[in-house]
Amino acid sequence: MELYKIDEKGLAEAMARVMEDYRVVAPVEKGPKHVFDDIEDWSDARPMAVGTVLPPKKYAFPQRETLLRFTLTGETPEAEAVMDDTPVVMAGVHPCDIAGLRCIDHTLAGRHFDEHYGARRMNAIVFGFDCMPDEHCFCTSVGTLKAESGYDLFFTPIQTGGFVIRIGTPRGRQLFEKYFQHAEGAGVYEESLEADFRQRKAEAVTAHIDAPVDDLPEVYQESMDSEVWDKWGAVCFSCGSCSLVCPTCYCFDVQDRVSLDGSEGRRDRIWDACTLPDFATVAGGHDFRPTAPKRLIHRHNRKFNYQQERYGEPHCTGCGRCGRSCLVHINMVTVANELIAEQKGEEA
Amino acid sequence: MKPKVAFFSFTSCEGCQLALLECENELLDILGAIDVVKFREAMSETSDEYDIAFIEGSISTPHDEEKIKKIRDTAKVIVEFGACAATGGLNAMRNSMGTEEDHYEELREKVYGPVGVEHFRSTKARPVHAVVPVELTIPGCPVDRGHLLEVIEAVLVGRSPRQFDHPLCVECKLNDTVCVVEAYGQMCMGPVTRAGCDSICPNVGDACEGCRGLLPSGNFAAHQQMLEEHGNSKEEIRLRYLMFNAYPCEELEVPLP
Repeated sequence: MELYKIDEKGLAEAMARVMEDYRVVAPVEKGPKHVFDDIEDWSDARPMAVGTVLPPKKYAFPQRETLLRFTLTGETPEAEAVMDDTPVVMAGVHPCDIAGLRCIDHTLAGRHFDEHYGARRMNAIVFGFDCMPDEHCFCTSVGTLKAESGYDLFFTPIQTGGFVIRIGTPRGRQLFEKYFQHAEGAGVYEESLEADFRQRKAEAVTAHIDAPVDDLPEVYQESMDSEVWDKWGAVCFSCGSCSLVCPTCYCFDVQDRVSLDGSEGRRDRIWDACTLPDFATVAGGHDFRPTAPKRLIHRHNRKFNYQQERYGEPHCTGCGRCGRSCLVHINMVTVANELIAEQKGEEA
Repeated sequence: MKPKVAFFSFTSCEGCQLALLECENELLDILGAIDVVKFREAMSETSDEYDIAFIEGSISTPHDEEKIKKIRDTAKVIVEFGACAATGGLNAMRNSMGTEEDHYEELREKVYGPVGVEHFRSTKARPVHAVVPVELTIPGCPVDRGHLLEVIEAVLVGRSPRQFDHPLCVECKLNDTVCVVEAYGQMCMGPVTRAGCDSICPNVGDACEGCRGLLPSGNFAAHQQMLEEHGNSKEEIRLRYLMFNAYPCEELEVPLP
């Protein structure tokens, strides 16, 4: 694969030109944290910032979106789908979030193709950036340290300054050729610097799951009755934060709104979360998962058991967002390790 | 035929009626869909025939009690709106400052002087639903305009309005709002408070004070312990719970530090 390199100034010039033609979003500062937001000046972007509140999935699958508009004035109601295929360049997508988008693709753009998601997703251009982990990151435990695919362009910072660029798609190549005039060819030396960065990144990860990721489905299958769930369920707020910030969660609610004169309306899709108390309540009032431990079992199994068995990769990407946002310190690594330790104890 | 709607004010600041008047872009549509027959903050004509009664304010005097029971006899639908009507609101803070038997005499004297003690009797401050059955609730201090419009829409269309049986944290996340506890260690009531205000306070960096009322499903013990871990004293936490939720704490038997 061809490698290129670019310095900070060249990148800023290229991004300024990209911004002339495209909507560009990137992590920006918000208080002491970062969020993905629209940028008009590349100097506002913090493409390597770890732990944005929401992952960039919100550009393919927005928190709230209108699916269709309808009118009720004629003899029969008429509806028209609302689609958004405006291209958006997402700059600063880390390997964990690239994996997150792939996980949602399995469900929303696989056997069942969601047209609304598909339209946005296909027009979401991924400029991946490598990053340095904080204490919540655990990409090395779930195989997301490095992005093998899923990006149009991927930027790795190197010690000599600037970035090494990899091109991941034909669309990425077109964009590269059109906007990145200041990039130069790179060779074995730059490739070693790239590997060196990734090595330092891997060494900086401090949170680790104490078992190979392929063993996790069995661990979770065997742990349905574990007391670990009761322990964490007792302190869980059922606030839904863990699910809402997750790059692989896609549960939603659908709501109709009608104008006050009853002539027209719209159908909206809004994020929902399986950890919320009212999520599994059905018509008639029965709740299939009425307690916090039952809801936690469900969420954690969705990451390391059900989805992983079905699609062949864990649906936890090690981004650490759930752990950062949980005010009572429930996180995937602690829970996994307690389940693993419990089973090792039983075997011994 | 357009439903006849009346607005009534009990113990409150009447700010929630103003919140409705502030729906400036929608007011004409609202007036096109309903027939307002009583609205003290906006009109002088009144009528005692109505289908839907919007009740603002808590029930806190013997007179309030009589009046709300009469309204119940007339109205097909009662909507309690605003924190005072929905949860007792700030008014219920006084419930622990005296006794119902002596009509909070000491407190009344402090507030109104000796003449007031003669003329104003007080009961415990209660939400409307504690005195008469109500069909719909829109909490908040003041009510959120979006939620208010959603309920009006639901009533007109003839379906149940959306329930907000989940904590405010949901809306902070949907809004990409930086958590005020995580980032600043603020004493936020969000994890145990009913959503529906679009996280208006945390969106601008302020902690939720719980004006939309405690969630029956709230994990109060864990929430209070978490607030303590962030450096708040037991007394501070107790007062924060009692600020907007003195009555819900009693209703839900919430243990306080």
